[in-house]
Amino acid sequence: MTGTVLQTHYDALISRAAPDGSFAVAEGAGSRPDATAWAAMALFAANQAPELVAAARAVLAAAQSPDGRVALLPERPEAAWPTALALLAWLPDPARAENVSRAAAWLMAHPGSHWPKNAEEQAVIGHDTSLRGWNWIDGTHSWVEPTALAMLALGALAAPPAEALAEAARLLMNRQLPDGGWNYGNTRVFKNTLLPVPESTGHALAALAGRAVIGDVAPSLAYLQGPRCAVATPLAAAWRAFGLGAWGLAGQDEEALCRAALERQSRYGPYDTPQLAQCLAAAASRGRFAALLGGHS
Amino acid sequence: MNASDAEKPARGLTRRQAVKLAAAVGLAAAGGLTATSLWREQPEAEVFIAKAAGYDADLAGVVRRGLAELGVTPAEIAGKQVLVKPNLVEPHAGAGHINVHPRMVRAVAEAFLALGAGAVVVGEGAGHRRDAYLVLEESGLAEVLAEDRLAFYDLNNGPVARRPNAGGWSKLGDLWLPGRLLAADIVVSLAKMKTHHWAGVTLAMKNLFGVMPGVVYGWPKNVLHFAGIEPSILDINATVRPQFAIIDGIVGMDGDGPIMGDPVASGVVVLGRSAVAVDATACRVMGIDPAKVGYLQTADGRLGTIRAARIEQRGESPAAVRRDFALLDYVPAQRDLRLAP
Repeated sequence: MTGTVLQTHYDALISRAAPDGSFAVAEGAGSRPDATAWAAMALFAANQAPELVAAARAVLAAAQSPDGRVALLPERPEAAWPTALALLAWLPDPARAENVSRAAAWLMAHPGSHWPKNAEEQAVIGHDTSLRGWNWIDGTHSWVEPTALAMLALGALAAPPAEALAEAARLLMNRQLPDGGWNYGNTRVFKNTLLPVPESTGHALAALAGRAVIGDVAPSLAYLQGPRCAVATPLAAAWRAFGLGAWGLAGQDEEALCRAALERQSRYGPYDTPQLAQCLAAAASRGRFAALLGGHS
Repeated sequence: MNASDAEKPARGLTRRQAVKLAAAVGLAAAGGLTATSLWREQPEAEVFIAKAAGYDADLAGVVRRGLAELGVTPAEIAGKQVLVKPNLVEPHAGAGHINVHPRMVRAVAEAFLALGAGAVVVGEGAGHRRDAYLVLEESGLAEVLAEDRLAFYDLNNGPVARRPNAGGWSKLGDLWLPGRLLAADIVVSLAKMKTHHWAGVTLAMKNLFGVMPGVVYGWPKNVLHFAGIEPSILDINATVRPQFAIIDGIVGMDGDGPIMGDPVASGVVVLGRSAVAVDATACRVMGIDPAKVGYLQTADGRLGTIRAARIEQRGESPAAVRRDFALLDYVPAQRDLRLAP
């Protein structure tokens, strides 16, 4: 299914599995939930090493706090952004329904900080600060990638939280740049409109599929399809594929870009596990994020 | 002068001690200071400024000369693991003035390798980008790293470890730092000479925001913004304590920095052992009073010195290469920073 070239990279990913089922964040480094979750998703999407996928899901479950979050480090509970990743990794496994439920409840109770923008802030920043999405670190503002990942996770639940997802979609649309594309989540600072980047644009487009009409994101799709985003680096290539794939626009070119990004480890050295796994998952699924969750469309 | 010359005895003193004494005597003659205040007024940091007209110049030679002027010897560097942290905040096509030029990275690596460094690696945790390798490609650094076989570490994503906050200005508590940074013997903050819309200026001290791992602090490192940019700068510098600070001011940025400002051809490289003193000197080159930059004023006397009388300027004088950077009146952090003519 994955082909010989990809198999080499899958073997590298599998080699980072620890005996307890967790995955090292990098070659020779310790394990971390984000690495474990992305590795589980990548392996599941390619139907590789199902025993490792099950073990990884179990490790993530063991790392889940009673309140439902999955923190990056036990000593850093505020860095709970891996919760959405764990939820995504658990979703295809009915045995993890209780973990999914608690993670979803934690996400729903912990949106990014939000507030009505005052006049002074209006002069400084462009986006609507009152909209609720999700953040990297609990207690801070909402940004594009954590909002997109939470939307992908919560949107795949059997009973998605429609109102929260609609507000998060409004947040992403509000953060879309005037000429298309997204960055980490700011549109304007003082008098300058900021510029888009490929990976953030891919995140937003992947999350907005089915929640926005194509005409409203057409400039962003054009940006992501354009030459400025056609770069063979791991996250840009992966999220270009997932972003376009969500709108039925990913093809062999996107897969080839992911493969080229994987090959570039000969130039850069081995990628950290989350980057390696995301790029592999995008290549193996040909940009179908749904494949990471067991879906086919 | 070469590196070994710097430590040659002169009448029982090293050359550097003799220079400091001469400077102190000069101050006494001019101001009639007492012996006690003479001691206080003697230089506490050395900062080297070199002219460099462009990135085609012999930048490795500039850095080597600067390190020699600072008294850096091969014995100090031999076998050490050096991590160079360039400012690569957010590359944009055609906007090379945002980031440290790749040839400056190469020059710094060459200089430390020439002094016998065991290894030089490059590490950055870009503030706005998740894809570090895209940052390398768009900044042009990827090619240089490949040609020079320099390893790159993405400081945002790799292993992290907790260290006590040695500063205590913010409420950040302990700081989480990249394991790859902590493994280095020598950290070099390699910054760009820029104005900044939140901090006034971004130089060697502010550049260290980029070592703070995004996995712990988010993108755009929102935790540090919530904790206060200036206290965070101070805490990070107090904790990381970079051994060297080097500023690429060959083409800097003024106005709405650190990303959306305009290029300024200042034609200088500034370096020293103290990030505080280097930043203060760079401010003077930019026509900015370092005492009016909040975090530099706070750092003065605690993390280093910003006082001209306590900084021994080597190479060019700041006044000789001063080129006033544009400051925006609608940006509060940039108001009233101008250095008197």
